[in-house]
Amino acid sequence: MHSERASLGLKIAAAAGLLFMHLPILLIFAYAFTTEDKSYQWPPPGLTLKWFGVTWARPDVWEALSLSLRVAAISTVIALILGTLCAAAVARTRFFGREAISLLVILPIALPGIITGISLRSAFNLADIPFSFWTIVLGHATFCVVVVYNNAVARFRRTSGSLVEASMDLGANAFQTFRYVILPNISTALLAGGMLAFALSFDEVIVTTFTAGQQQTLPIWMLEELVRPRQRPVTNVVAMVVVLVTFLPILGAYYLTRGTDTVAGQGK
Amino acid sequence: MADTAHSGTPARPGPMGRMSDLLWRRPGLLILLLILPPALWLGVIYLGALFALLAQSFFSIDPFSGLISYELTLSTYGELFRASNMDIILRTVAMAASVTAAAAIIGFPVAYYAARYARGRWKALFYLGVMLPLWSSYLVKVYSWKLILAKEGILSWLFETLHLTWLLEAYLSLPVVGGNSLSVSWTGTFLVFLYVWLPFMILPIQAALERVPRSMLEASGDLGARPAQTFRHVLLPLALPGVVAGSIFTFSLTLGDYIIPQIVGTSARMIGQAVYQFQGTAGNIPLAAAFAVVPILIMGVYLYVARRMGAFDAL
Amino acid sequence: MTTAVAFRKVSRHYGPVRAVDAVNLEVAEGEFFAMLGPSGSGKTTCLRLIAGFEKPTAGEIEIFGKPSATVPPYRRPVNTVFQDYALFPHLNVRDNVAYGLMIAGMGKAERHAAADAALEMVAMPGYAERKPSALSGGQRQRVALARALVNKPKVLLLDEPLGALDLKLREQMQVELKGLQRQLGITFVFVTHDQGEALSMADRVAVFSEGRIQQVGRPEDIYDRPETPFVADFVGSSNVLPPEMVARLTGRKAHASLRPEAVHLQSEGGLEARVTGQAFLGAVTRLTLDVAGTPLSALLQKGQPVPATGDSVRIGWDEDALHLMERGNG
Repeated sequence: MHSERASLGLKIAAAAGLLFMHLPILLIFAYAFTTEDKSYQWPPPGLTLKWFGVTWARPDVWEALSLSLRVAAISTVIALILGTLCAAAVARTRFFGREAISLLVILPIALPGIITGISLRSAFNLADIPFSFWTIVLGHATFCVVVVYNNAVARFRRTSGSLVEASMDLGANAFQTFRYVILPNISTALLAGGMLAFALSFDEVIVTTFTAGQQQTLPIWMLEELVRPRQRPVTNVVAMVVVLVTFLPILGAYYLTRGTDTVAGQGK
Repeated sequence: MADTAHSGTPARPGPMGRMSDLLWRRPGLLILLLILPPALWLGVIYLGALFALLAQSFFSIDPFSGLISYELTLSTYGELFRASNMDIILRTVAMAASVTAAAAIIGFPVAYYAARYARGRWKALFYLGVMLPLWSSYLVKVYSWKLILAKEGILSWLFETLHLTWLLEAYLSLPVVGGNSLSVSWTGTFLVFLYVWLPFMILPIQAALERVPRSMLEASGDLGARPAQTFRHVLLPLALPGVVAGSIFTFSLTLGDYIIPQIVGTSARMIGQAVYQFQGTAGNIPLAAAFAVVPILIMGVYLYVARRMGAFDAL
Repeated sequence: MTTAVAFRKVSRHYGPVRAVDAVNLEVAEGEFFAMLGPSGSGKTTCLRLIAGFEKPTAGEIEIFGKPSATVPPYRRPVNTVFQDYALFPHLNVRDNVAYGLMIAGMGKAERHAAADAALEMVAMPGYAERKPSALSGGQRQRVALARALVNKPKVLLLDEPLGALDLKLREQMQVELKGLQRQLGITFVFVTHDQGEALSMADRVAVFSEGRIQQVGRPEDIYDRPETPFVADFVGSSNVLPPEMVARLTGRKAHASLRPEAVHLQSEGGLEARVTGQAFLGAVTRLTLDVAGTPLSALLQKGQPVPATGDSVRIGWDEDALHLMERGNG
């Protein structure tokens, strides 16, 4: 173990683990080009690009995509504001109820999504709130806060407290200090948190099934297709596009926080 | 207060300056202003909804009219102990436990290699190799397994190509784990759960292993321990909080999921599906709420034990 | 002479912990004032009270005669050099130095010129474009100094500014800081746990222990005439003789300090002592002795014969080397 070389067994086990995590996703790419449209036949009897055109012409896919993007954008903005405020309060100071606040932030992802979903749904029912764009956003922002919070709180902790004092010492009031010192120092963490929150919201299905009513976000659309398949090749193409689209913010978040904080355990 | 002018600053502070002065004099006010919006959002919207749900679990459904009777009762909780409902709970817990155990076994070597041996580019590769599956679309991941496990899918093809179809059929004819095809068997459900939650196990283990200083392992070797002994007596105990932290995710996520068993699995339900059906088609919100309390309770106990084992430092 | 900073019965308590306990203090304008004490003695808290990062639990701090209770840090005519320098990592050196001027509303060209001049003053020209992360510890320290001084504060607060530097650099910076202070005429309040640093640089020194000031005075007074056993022990490691022993020697019952360099070996008379150890320190050798149960140390100049451990020797000292401390330990 002192030597820097791992045993062959360990190498194989680690490589097998990684392959297990990646091969199934890659499989999606192959299926997007299959000519078979009735079953999940492997290997594909032939390859074609025609399903991309078919998918492109489907208004229901576009509507679902548009709804998902709008929900993710608004939820991310709300999560950014709430998560940053919360992180600032918790990271800098000790106050009564501090532990309770961090627990409260984590709870929406610590509890199974179905509980968050069914709670919100019964609350909407009790309060007679009809399902709308905003009921979806309400649910998404609630569990996205923690992602921003985790990123921001880690950066706040790493940012030396004396920077704020130095700024005030040099004549900057609280707002100037926020504008010129705090914000530039946490901006990449916020950007990373925002990207992950966006990816999380864009992909969320469990809570959304309870808060969307008749509206279809892209994941809801996919779920419908999985339960009652209508045109399998279109689902294949959408799945591939979703994989590609979510990779970008994840890679972006990784490069923004690389070598500084870790985005690990951001618990989705 | 404005007359103590700092050299260069204007003597009369503007409204922002006066607000800032106030926040300096009353640091409590600053914290209150910071914490108020998130506390209101999460406290009122989220906790409010959660309590609304919990409250419903103490109501019951009138067996004749099918309407909710708003009288406090424990009878709904009593229904949980009916044999068919207990089956659902036990089945779910058994699934969560086996998924957690398998994830720990498969995840440990990956985390161990990434934390101890991978350097430079390989380290980044391993990190992304875990992060990408973690964050990629849940539904797409489930979908890809539907493709893999389908009767005409890649796994059947693989067995056929290797002339091992008889083996697959023998396995599928086994009770409990088998079924008509892999995609409608417990084995299928288990595989998908394992696949989807595995990254959640790897990251905390890796974080825990990375915190073990190299000098500690060298000290163990210096004191005469063979590598296997160092692994057994030093590394494993120190990695355990990471395993427990990871198991919180895998266990909790399996307990509450209703989509995976719906898409890949048998007709026997799990807790998530039961909650979904009771609140949806059956319209029995009180029983759905009572069912929802079960994972909360199980996770409460789990978290309590995990905290005692120091797992939260590894999150 | 104007009083720059005055503490009037200032206390800062954290729950049961009295970090600063009823401290009275006056720092004169233009003075190089050192706050000396071990860690946790309250000296840094005093500095932070002056800067406004902490608020007194009781008592009042006046800065140039004006009460400061309601004045936030950004309106105080003081600037701080932080122990960890606290340079803004997202700004280059020039923008770091110009930060205070930027906040004060000075134009870009003007404040950049001022920043470059300040960098020149601390012997750092040509580093303006660098990020703080690309500087060494000593260079950061100079930038932090320039960043504070460019605002022309009336009082400069320095929190262990040389603590992170190696010995050679530290000695060089001590000379430079002292020169800078003379040249600018600004009041310096300097926190350190290094008695040598305090004694060599400061006009006056306040010795802190457990939140209280043990003694304030010129370095010579602190060194030669410590008022409490703590000061005697902490500043230059004097021997502290217990009251019983002092009573036998002088007839007065009080603690007394005796500098080790004042103790010499003699062939007869004086006190009998047993040698318990010796340490070679270069120019001198430190002998540790046991005098009837009281540990004592003596410094022998180079060239003198050094007795072996276990030897019996006789020691003596000049009459005025024994300094009685009537105040006891505060």
